[in-house]
Amino acid sequence: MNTKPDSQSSCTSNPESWLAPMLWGLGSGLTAAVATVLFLLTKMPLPLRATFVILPVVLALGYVRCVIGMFRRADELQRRIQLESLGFAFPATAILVMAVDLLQQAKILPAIHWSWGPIICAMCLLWFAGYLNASRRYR
Amino acid sequence: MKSLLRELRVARDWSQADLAEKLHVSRQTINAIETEKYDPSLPLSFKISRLFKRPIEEIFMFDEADPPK
Repeated sequence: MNTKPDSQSSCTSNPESWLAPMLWGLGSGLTAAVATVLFLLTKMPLPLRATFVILPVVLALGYVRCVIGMFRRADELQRRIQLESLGFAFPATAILVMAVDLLQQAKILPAIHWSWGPIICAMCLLWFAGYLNASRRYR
Repeated sequence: MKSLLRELRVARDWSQADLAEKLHVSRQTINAIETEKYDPSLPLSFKISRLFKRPIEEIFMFDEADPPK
């Protein structure tokens, strides 16, 4: 029965609270980019390489923790909107990845090696598009 | 779902923001309920019922012909 926002955690459901997950996400993305460049350009010892693998993952877990906390404290309509946004973004990303891969296999698109970066960017953009669409529906 | 929420709120001279604050939800939620774009959950319906001191079925009119929102 409790729909009152929880004030115990560092993440709240107001718009300013997006700053915390954004910082976690940006930190994760930046450290992953730095790690990728360092892996290409330098020969680091194994413990250092392992640290650069773990660091972006730990920061990404912080991002996930913040976002889940925000969803838990959000009011019920915001939860519905986010559910619809993610319900759109997840299958849309899967369809996009499948379509691009099939186009590459059919040699309609040039075969380019692509890693997780563009997929995560596409997922975030589709999540945002789904959020705008769901928000408009309940306005 | 049709409701008397707007009428009850206006009768008390509350804005949507006032009601949202009393119910600990967003103003968008109140607006979506009043414009019949969103059906509130059972806990929120009970909160509304207690706030206005009216039974739920007096505030919300369920019509089986309406698709769930």
